[in-house]
Amino acid sequence: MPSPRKFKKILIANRGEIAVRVMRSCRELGIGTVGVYSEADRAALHVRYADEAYFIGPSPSRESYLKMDTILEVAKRSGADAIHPGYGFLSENAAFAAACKDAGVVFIGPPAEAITAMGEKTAARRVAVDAGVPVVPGALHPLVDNEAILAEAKRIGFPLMLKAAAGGGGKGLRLVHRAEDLEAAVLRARSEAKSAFNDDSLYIERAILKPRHIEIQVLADTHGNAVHLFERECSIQRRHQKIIEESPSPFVTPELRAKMGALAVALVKKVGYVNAGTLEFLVDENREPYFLEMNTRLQVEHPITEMVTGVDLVKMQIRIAEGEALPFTQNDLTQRGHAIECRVCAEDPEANFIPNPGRIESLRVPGGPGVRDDSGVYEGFEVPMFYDPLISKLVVHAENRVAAIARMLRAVSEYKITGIKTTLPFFDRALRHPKFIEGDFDTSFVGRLQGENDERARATEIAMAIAAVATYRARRRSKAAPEGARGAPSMWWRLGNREAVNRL
Amino acid sequence: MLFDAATTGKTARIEVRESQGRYRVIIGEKTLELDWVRTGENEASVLIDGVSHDAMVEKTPEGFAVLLRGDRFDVELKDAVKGEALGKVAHKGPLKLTAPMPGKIVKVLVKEGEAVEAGRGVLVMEAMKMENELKASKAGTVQEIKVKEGQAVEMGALLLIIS
Repeated sequence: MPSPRKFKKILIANRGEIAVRVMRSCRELGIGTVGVYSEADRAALHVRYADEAYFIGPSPSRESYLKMDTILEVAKRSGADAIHPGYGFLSENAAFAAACKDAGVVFIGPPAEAITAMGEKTAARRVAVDAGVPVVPGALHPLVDNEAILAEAKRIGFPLMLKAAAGGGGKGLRLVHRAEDLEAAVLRARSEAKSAFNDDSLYIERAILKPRHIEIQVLADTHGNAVHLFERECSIQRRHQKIIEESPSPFVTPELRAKMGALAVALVKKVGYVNAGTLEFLVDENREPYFLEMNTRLQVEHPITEMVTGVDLVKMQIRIAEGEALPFTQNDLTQRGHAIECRVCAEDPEANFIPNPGRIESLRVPGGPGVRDDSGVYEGFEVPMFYDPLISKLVVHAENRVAAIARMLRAVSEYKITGIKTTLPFFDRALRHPKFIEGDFDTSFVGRLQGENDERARATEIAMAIAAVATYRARRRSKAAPEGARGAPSMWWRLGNREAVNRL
Repeated sequence: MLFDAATTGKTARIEVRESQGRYRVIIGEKTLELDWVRTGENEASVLIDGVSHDAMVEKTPEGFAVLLRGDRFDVELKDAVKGEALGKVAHKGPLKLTAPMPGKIVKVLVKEGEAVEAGRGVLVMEAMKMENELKASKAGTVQEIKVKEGQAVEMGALLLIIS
């Protein structure tokens, strides 16, 4: 049956779980999918899933997934009407959005001008200030002399943070609680910055203590309509990247939700934004939101919003790009129940979450009520070292937060991956932590999390016993192998013997 | 059979005996009775005193990983009589250690021609403002070191080869 849609075929300029996620919505809409792949990804799930797939270059992303010309060439060759960029790679690249337009293929995302206006942090903050959206009070430019710093500090208020403009690694970073400590702190921060970076200019901004990282999802169409789809709580992070997200946020009150939603919609309308986007806010202890930045694309953690609102964000992105008006107004949208996402990454949670790529030897995926696994891998797949270590997003939905935590723990207990280390054991510990259960955590949660308890000590013993019995059984089996066969081992014997050593 | 087992923060002498298709495991003061049914290539259903443990076991460079109920336990096992390490996947061919993330080489802990044990730290890399020790996942000889201290490397870059 020919598709009644405007788009007949969409090229997905991405890989892994998000490419598969986008293709799933395309398939439901009856739209053909075109995948692209690098050398390392020939056997990747998104290639297997796509209706068509084309090679775009060597494994490093700058030679493949970031090659605008090659991707546009594939779009032309395959006859794709539109390109969905996913997240990362070319998704927030204004030049790519413009190049798509020039090539006559629709970029599923905001117009190039909106990416430029909102994509750069300081520019976006200026736009926000113009739209009356609060930002973390601070100087938007580096300050070079003591007088200027002291004057700005009085304007901004305390506590405040001094940051080396050339910054990084925590050097020249200083938290100042009181006005009387400022002068000494400025001198120390400047000398530290000078010796570390040979540049003693400083940024200065209000310090947000115990910050919460909360973001608002928005959708805007080409007809001037814009809505928000409530918040996502993203405070649980490692290496400054999110790892557990939930919606609604246990910290957000109905008043704060309404306030942040209205600010987000106002900002979106002010810049003429179109398609899906996310506004990130820092929220302080007193529940004051400060606009941080805007992500002009689909977010990794979009499924939790889909679960609580019932809106398929990828389908909405496609329909908006086709020129349709939003099929609902703000009043039609509600949050139903509670959703949590855990990012299953090929990382070692026992060693600073260092990436741990390799072959997935065995994989058992959870199921049952309210469980969704947005995966980009399969059993036997070799997770390449070249890209993000995210292999799957485990998402649950339940009637309330308590039930959602229990459901996630249940799903994590069913999820088994061998061959590589993953973040799964970390979720088991994090979701049992009293602070998480109470909803009392901020962005430093992962750093403060500690493992061991009685229950785990008991399980450790059982694990040791199981490893010992597995070895005992393997040794018994290899002893049982026929002695005579050792002189001239037949292929069957060798196979049997290898199995005896490897299997349980 | 007698084993010496070690995992994070814990060591134990373990004895395994088989009788009538069951396994009696003695860990220190405790005795566990394991009813074991193989359920897959590297899976087993283990009942201990009526408690069901659905286990996955894999061999790793350090020994064994046992997956139970969403948690993972890395166990090192030795033959208590001979002292030889057990489990441990044998890596086929030379091991090419690559950068797991973009970063900077802080320290090279080995020299070319040096013999290394599996699990030995060979390089220290700084990435995302944290120092991480990269380990040899097989025993062998350091054949070639491709990087110098202080060098910035990209994700996937070849760092070191162990033959």
